[in-house]
Amino acid sequence: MAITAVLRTIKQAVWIGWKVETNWADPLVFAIYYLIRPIAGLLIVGFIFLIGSFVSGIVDPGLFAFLFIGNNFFIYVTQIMIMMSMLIHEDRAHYEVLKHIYLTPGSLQWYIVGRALNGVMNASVSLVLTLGLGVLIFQFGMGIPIPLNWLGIDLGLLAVGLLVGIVCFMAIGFILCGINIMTSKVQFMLPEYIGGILYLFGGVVFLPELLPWWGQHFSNALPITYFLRIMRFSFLHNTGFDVHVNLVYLAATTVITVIVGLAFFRVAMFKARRDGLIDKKEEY
Amino acid sequence: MSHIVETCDIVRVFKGHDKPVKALDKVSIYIDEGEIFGLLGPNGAGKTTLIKILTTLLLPTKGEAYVGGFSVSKEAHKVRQMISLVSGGETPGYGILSASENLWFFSQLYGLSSSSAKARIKQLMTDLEFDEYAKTRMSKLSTGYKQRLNLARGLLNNPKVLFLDEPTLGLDVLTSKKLRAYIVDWAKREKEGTVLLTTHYMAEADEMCDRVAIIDRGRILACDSPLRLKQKLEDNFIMKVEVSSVQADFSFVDDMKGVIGYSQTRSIQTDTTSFKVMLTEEKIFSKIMLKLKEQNLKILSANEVEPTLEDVYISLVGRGFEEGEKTTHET
Ligand SMILES: Nc1ncnc2c1ncn2[C@@H]1O[C@H](COP(=O)(O)OP(=O)(O)OP(=O)(O)O)[C@@H](O)[C@H]1O
Ligand SMILES: [Mg+2]
Repeated sequence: MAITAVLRTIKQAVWIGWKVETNWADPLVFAIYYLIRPIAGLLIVGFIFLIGSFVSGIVDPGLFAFLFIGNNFFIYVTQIMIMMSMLIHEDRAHYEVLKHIYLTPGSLQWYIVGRALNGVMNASVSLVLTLGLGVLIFQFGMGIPIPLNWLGIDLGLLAVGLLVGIVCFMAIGFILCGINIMTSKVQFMLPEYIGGILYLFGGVVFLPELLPWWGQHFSNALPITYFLRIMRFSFLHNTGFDVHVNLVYLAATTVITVIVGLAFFRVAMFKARRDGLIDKKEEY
Repeated sequence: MSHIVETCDIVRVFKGHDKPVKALDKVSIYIDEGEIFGLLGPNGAGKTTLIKILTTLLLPTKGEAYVGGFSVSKEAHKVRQMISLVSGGETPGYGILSASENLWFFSQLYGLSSSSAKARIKQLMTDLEFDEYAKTRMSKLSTGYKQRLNLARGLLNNPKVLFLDEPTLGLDVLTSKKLRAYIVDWAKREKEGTVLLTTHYMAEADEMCDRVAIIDRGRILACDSPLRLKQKLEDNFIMKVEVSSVQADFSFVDDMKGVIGYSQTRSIQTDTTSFKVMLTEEKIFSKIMLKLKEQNLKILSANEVEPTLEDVYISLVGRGFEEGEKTTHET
């Protein structure tokens, strides 16, 4: 596929995604995904911090900033996964377009990437929202001096880390697409389970050092662990990690995830074609 | 490359609920460039399955098929560049977008440049007579206009082979007529435009197709031009009888010698049954009439009729298309 055709496809997918999403018949669903979820995440962070401070007797604003940034950037993981998990069934059974997208030469995976970019945009909106709200509630409301220098953010590092991270989460999303194409019902809970595991082991709120030895190994194998370290570093600078080493690890784990994700998707598409699932609408 | 489409002993088995279902059983057909080829068969015959294999949506269990000389299983990406698929009774697209926005979406996925996409969409909307609905949300379009939109989408990429799966399913007579005429016209205009169309409407196959394959339970029973298929029945007698009562029972002909096959169409509204029977000799018909009189049925009409493609099917299978259904309508 020529690069211009790829770009056209991605552009259309982003546009369609935006149209479909801003048209949700159920405002409740909309509210859950865009507002309640990020805010709930924020409150959990506040809660964990308060308990931690209470138990240890020390109020450490540095720890708060650590949790706060980690939690906020985790939104990208959830949003991209949810977006990519929903789209196959919707496009196959509801809009009946999946098979036709599949038949336009070479565009399905780029279409999926475009739709995932919608997840990225949603996540960015949520991110700004929760950053703002967090500062409002915790810094101004509760008086926690969050040690964040808003003007000193390492934007270059942030951009690079974010870009690699997004590629990585999309690769995980392709695995979800593959699973959904082979199943007859939307796997609603799947992104939640995977998200939960990544949340626990990726060092979002629990430091990997607090995990049992196997948990630490697992955590070290996850790209999300390095992603969050880089996000934190770009905001907080001194986090006790070597940023270059973490960048290399992020890149390496991302390459592996992309290879696995795309291979899985390919195999899933082959199976779907073999079993006649690409346009499956009803049960046989 | 001799034929634009060719299938070699295609077999397709589905898992099914309790036992495997053989949807296609050694199907071998070919289609030449520029032909309108019909696949005619009753429900469950395997028409959609064959179209899905040829359009690279499904893999054959055994056998191989070629479109434009490319293997559908091994060179699917090459096949996809020259085909498109339109399925009747479906409205692929986003209900919240307008008709033209939906076409635009697909034109971009095909990689058309903005200017040629715009021109093409405009042309198709004019040709298929729905430019007044260009800005209408797809979900608000009537079934007929949705199908026009569906067909327009299928023509966006100027396919070499257009696959149509029951393109007039559920459409009113007028729209069906228009779409059929347009498709025939398209194939002619594009010179080398080839169409494979599946249908269970006899008239559609007869009217549109250069050649027709009759398919039943996954097997191709006959394949020729509609005219030649019908000519093969010239030595037979086809009689049509209409009797009062929707409950008339014609099953007695099952045991009669010289009966090649029959079909019956019941109409609850008029409380009548129409019965078509194919005989080797005309004189057998009088025996049938006698039996009917014994049943005290009022005979409304009885006459010899010209063979149709349905009769070709009856001669091959011994029953009509819609057999086993309680009520049917003439198609
Ligand atoms: N995915 C599937 N799984 C199991 N069985 C299937 C599947 N697809 C088709 N079949 C079966 O294969 C047979 C052929 O189906 P197909 O849809 O090709 O028929 P058709 O000629 O298109 O019929 P119709 O006129 O109803 O569209 C049927 O018995 C059908 O039940
Ligand atoms: Mg069918």
